[in-house]
Amino acid sequence: MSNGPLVNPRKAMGALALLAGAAVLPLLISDPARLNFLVLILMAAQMGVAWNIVGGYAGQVSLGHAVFFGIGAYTSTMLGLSLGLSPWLGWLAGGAVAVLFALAVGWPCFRLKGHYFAMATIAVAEIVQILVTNSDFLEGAVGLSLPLDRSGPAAMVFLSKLPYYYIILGLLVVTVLVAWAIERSHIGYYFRAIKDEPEAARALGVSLTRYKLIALSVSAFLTAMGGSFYAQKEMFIDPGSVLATSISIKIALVAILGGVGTLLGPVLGAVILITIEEYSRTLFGSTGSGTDMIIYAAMIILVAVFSPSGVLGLLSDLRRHLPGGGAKPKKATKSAEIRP
Amino acid sequence: MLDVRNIQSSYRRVPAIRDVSLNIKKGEIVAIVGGNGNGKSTTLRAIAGLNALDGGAISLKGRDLASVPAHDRVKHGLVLVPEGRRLFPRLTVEQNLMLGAFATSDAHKRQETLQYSYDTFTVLGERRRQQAGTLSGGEQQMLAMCRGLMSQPDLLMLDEPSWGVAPKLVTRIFETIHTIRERGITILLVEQNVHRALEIADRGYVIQTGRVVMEGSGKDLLGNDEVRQAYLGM
Repeated sequence: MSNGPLVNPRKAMGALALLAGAAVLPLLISDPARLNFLVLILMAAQMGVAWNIVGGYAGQVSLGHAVFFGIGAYTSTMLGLSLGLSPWLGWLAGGAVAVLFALAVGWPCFRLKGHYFAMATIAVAEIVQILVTNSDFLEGAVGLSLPLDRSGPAAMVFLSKLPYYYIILGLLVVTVLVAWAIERSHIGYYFRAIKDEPEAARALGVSLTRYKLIALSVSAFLTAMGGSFYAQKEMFIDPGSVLATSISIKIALVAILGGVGTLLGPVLGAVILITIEEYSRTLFGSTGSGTDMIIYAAMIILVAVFSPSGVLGLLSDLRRHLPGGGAKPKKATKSAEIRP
Repeated sequence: MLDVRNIQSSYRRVPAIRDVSLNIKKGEIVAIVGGNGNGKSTTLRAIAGLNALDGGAISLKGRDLASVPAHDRVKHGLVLVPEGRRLFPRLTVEQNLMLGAFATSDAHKRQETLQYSYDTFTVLGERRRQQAGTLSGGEQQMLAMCRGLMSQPDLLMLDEPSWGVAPKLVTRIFETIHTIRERGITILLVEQNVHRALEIADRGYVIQTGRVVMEGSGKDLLGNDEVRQAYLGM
């Protein structure tokens, strides 16, 4: 299935420029709080792109992705604490555990369609959160702390925020490359076929469960790596910080807000969402606990009503309607609709 | 080729077919005709494995299909071109065709069928890089049929191929069905356009309220008074 030249030179240049900008940006910022803010954006973007693989391309909306995030965080942390395993290997282990979990949970859950699948993912994430909270082995609600005596690249513990910035930027780049490769590969076509016309895909010989499981596994692996990163950065995890429902919603919302099923939509969504979140935090202070949920809810409503194809869809609509914006042929924008 | 014995199947828990038996020999064109909501489509969907059986048995080339899931039936040589075409609108014409070849590994035959599709319907070749959703109804039907052929089927099942197709193109569609048979492919056809269907069919079955009520050669059924009265308005 050829699809024109492998890389569109203009797009490639744009991506490289964006990357170069992202690489230089932290050097211009000395305030650690500002830098931390950028790290939060990159984290949200990375998870949104990962979510998009199953939620966007394959159209299987998961509202329980915190479970993979938490698995990543807990696996790398536990392996580090009990076996002294390097977090770099712990990342991969966390991803592997998340894949196994995705396969075990996806097998029954993918028998459900649309909204029922989304509901099942919420239930699974809630159950895991409760189990971990009550697990003595995982220190329950007390949480796990990383030892403070080790630092440096081998332990992936740094005093400055700067290394974290480059690590998460690297992880985001890897995640985007994986999504890009899927988008262009045969598997990407199967995902879109399953999303648009599941029965027709099945009638042509595509096993729906198999490809949905592939989508979920890849997404889970990458999300778990995000979780491991979070654990290394914060050096403390508990069920409330890595398994909470709000994380699941945030991951999905980043992608939905930016543009479901588009490569860089989730990155844009992350920039918008995290910015709003940070400003609301300074605005309402600690009195506003729960404001983030109110904001999420408001954004979901706004996106659903005004632009089901996300901000990216809105932008391309605008460009089409502006004079001189190019009379590009209207493409079927189905790609970007939220379709649980 | 295909042997369907006393199958029953439900659509959303409502029994849609109560007792359907039919058999198709290699190289035949067989039509299932009848009014709307009498179980024609459900019959095809049951054969394709998209609807579960409540009773009865289906065998293809002597092999019982009970334990074969829908997506594996394609490998056994059976493919359904569903009602309303069900193309992948955001994929290009060529990508749609290549998805049809999902179940085959024979690259040479795949290329040959692709070329056949483009030769038979030049418009598909011209628009191979265009999104399938932008084609006209008739073009979409041609694409859907070609997509089905890409799996190298022995048995091609067509559900309402004239649906949503401009009258001018309907003739073209039925001509194509004829030429597909000449490629050695057996055809099972469901149509509301009873006249056209029975004209090209070697044999036909009339289904009413989920049961086969009549069968015979296409010509005999076309000449049958009951059929003429009920479906042809004569």
